[in-house]
Amino acid sequence: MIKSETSSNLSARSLRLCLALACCLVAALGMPIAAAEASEREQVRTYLELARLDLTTIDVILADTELDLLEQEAVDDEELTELQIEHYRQLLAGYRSSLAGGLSELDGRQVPDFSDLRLHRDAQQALFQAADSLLAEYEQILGYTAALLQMSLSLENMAYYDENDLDATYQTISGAIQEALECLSAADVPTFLTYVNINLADSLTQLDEAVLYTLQAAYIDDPVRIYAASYRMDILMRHFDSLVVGIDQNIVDRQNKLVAEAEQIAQIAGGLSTWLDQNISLLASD
Amino acid sequence: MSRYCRHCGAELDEGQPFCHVCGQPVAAVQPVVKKSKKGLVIVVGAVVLVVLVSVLAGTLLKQALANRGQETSRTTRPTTTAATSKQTSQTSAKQLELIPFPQELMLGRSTTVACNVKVPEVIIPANYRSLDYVVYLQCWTDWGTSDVLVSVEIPGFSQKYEQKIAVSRLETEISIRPPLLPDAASQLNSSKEAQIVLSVRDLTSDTLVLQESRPVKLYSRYDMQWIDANGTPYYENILAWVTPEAEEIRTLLRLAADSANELTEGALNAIVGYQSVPGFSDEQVTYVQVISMMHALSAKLNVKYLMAPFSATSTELQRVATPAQVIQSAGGLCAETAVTIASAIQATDMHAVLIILPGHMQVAVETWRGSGAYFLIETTALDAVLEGNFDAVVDYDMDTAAWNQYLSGDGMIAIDCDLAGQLGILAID
Repeated sequence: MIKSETSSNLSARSLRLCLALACCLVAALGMPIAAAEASEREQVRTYLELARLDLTTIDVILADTELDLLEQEAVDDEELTELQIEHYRQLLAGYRSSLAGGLSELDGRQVPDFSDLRLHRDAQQALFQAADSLLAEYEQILGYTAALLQMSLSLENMAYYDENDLDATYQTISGAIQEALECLSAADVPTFLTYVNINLADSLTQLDEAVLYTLQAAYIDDPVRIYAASYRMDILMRHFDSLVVGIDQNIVDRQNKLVAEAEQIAQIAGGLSTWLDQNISLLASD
Repeated sequence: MSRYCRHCGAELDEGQPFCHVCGQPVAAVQPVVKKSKKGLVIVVGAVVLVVLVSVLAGTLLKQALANRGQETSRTTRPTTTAATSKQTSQTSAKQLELIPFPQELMLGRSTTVACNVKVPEVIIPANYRSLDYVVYLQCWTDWGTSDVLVSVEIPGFSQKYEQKIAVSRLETEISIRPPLLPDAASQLNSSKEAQIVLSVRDLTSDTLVLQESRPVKLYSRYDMQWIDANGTPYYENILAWVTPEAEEIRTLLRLAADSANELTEGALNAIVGYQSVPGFSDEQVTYVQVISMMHALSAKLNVKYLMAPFSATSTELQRVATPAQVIQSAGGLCAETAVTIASAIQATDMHAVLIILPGHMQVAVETWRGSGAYFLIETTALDAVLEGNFDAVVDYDMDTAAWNQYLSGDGMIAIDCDLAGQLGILAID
């Protein structure tokens, strides 16, 4: 009886003890989790806030009225001067440097272990790369524009010839054409202008040949060749005209695509900002 | 009796299972206060159990934390008893839950290839080899990169041409001119409608980006368009009809040598081009050779001038026979006899210039290489040459002033046969 009573008491005590142990276990588990979650929350919030800060780089680029990537201002048809081109190139180089910095930050930053955050990191990296690619293309287009300007300057030298000296005249004109050709061959050509560049170089080579043909005709006072040279020049001018139409069309087409890309970048950047802001608010409200 | 936490010393309320300050369990320490031997044993056993549970808890905790890292913010918390849930909500933060990341914000998640295509509306077989393109393609992706296979064919006219290209968001341009089927151009004796069949396949996603047929008009190999619908002249295309390599031109030159022999009574019995011949001035050598060519064409090949209407100002296509056809069919229009004689002159390495005047065509031949002086040949005067009326065939009296006056007339065009190469125009035959 005593034994049984003792057993009964022991059982009740054991049960209480087990409960206490369970509480102990829960407490043991709960405390590190609480501590870990508090730390994790902080990490996540920091990550989100830094990512939000990074996005301002994109916002600034898109809001730049000088670059006007979204073409919100009326397009100015005036040709760019060398100084303007240089200014834009510096602007683009600066922004590209900022984007590179942002990308580097993103690469080096520890991402809290959440799949959504990893997705965000990948998306933001893709966005920065896309923006950089867009600016790189604008930079390349400006570079090519500068090369075309240089080419025009070289061709202007053709006007300074001595009409009394046919040989010197040819040397002057041909020299100017060769300089222009060197500008074209040295230029970093945007891919959408590859054939334009080839055709332009081909046309200049033909111009060189046509000039030589004409001057030779003049040299020997050959009336038939002079008339044939005149028609040869007509063909060349026709070729130049179609080339210019082609360049204009190519540039307009590409420009539209670049604006569409900038709009897509703006849309993605807006989406990322919203997502980041929402999560920052969510964490703050918890 | 007041109770105190043995860990931190805080005063505890009655029945409180955990210290409200440090969170340590209160129950675990109670038996110590009322210890008994049996109880101690149990406590010792319990302590062993606690150690074991702690080890187990530690393992579980590590596992739980590790899982949290893998499972994301949506992982579920371990359940607790009702007695403990209030306590954990006070001591631990709520579980982190982030708004799911929208997939559509991922640029380049899927790559889409797009294309722009330009094709000519007409193809002139004579100029096919100097044609810029049959298909001009601009290809790009939205953001990613992709490999695409471009395929172009004009069934019945060209071979199927395939080219693999890598495309990115930067525009890739290609110009394609598929090689012709053997004898395709030579069999085009009349113009016909055809299709340019084009396809662009994205090899990365194995999807068809573009597959279409664009109509194209294939001109007959003899069709010449002097002026297009916009009024742009393309007179230079006639240079494709100047065919010095044609077998029939070689025949003409052999017969012209016979004619020279006959006409000069053996003094000049060969077609020598710009080579000096004893007893002849340079101009006379050229003159005799040109008369001999005309004579051979008329007297030996029986070619007649066909007086059909001809207009170099019409936008309509004009059928122009090649020199080979002129000789085979023994007849030709002014333009056809002109290109035939020009072909013969060029074949001897002499210099011919086609003179196009309203409704007519003639040939100028330079009296000597680099002389700057020319004879004007009326290539339709095939009957006159038979009659010995050579003055009606070759005007040898035109000086610079006369040429200037002649060529300055309305609608006069001079096309130098030597420029065909520079202009990228290749001979039909």
